[in-house]
Amino acid sequence: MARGISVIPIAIAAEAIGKFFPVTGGRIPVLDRVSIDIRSGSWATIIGPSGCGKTTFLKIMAGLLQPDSGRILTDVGEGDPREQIAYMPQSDTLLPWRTALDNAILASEIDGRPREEARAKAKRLFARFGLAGFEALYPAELSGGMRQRLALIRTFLAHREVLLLDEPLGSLDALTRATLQDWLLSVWEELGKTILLVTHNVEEAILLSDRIHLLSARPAHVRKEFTVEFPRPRSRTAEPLVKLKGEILDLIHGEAFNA
Amino acid sequence: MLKLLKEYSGTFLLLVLFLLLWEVGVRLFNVPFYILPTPSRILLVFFSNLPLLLSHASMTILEVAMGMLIGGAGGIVLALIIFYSPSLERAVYPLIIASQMIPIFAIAPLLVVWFGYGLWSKATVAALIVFFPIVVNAVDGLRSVSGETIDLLRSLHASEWQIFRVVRLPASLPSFFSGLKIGITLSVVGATIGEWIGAKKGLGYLMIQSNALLRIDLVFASILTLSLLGLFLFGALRIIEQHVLRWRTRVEVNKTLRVKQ
Repeated sequence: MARGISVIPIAIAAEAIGKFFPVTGGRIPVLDRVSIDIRSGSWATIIGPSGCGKTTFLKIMAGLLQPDSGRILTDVGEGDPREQIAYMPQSDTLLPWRTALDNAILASEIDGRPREEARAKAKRLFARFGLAGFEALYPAELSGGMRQRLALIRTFLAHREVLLLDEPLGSLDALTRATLQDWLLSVWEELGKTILLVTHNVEEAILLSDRIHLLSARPAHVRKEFTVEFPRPRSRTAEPLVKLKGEILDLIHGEAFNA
Repeated sequence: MLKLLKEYSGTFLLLVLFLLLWEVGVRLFNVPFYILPTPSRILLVFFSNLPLLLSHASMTILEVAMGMLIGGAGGIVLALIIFYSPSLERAVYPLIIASQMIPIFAIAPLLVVWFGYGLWSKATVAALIVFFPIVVNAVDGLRSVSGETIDLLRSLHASEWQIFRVVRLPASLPSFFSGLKIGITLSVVGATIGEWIGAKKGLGYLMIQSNALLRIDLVFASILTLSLLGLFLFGALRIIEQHVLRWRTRVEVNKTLRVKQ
């Protein structure tokens, strides 16, 4: 790794990413030189006001959109980040005609790996992550929380180093959301992947991440970065956590108020 | 069967009432059978001429089947062209819609001139009718995949072919089947009209012949056979659809079960 002296290598980095969206009679800036480094095996979270360009940024990280300036670097250098990342869109995007198990092995199928082997592997994950017995059901037969867990298992099974998750829990009710946050954390600890999470839920960001990147309103730039050093599992009501939450919320709301 | 009768008891009752009125009316007013036969006579003629009707029906089925095959295959190819090539879409789509303004039945005599009295003129009429609902529905189906799903597949480095095979094709099947179901009933009408104009065999041909001989009872028996044929083809298609779209069938069945509980 060319960059720097840090002991833990960088899994993926965004360097001064800029992006405009064309509109009639011009273009509007969406991303203003956004730079983020994500360490291998760490959990990074992007948080920011809605409509600030979080999803656009994640799509650029995923290689789905080309930035107008800047570049994405992975630990193999510059190039198509898709070799390194697994992307999970905002909605679960499960294929309704495939059983839960066959949805989970989608990435293996696209990569041309043998189907039976992928199924066996997926089955083990189903058992480990609380979906055992649901392999043969169709997505429409699953609850919202189970669909989201299935979409996450599908993302893990892409066998990539870095997982890009776009508000994976956004559509869930508060209770299911809290359960899945714990679940997600245990999965991450077990699998040792690098995660970049996009959310607008401050508490979720603090509970889960090693590092929080707070984006400004559009055009987005990194406004402030927080390193969260509280040991896991973290309590939602612990005092330092609540304090940090207040600090971040003040920053977000202060900006919204001034805007 | 009993459940079916119960569910459609209203329809069934109305139908029986209508037939009864018909029967009584014809007898009461002494309408001659060569003008309007009674339902009971039609049924009698239907059963006593069953071998004849079936042999003509087999021809009509063959025409419809060939029409569905040709029209279906053509429709799928055109739908793919329209979907994957925007410039061709702009050129072709208006023509396809305009072509629907030409009454196919009006050009049926021409088709008989070009393709003869046999199977192919009628299969062509059926194919021309079937093809439009199939194109329109298949294009809709191909377009029904969400941008996020495509993003997901692109992020996995899927090729265009993989995206088609894994997502677009299965996603388009439900509306493709809708197109087929509209098409198959229309194509029976198409084949029959083709047979009126010029044929050597088929239920439409039998109708015209019987009509000329004032065998109105046999005309009605042919109509009955045609209706049953349409129902049979539609039902067969539905069974195929339910099998191909097993996932949807199962999800729907479970839903109705849950509602009933």
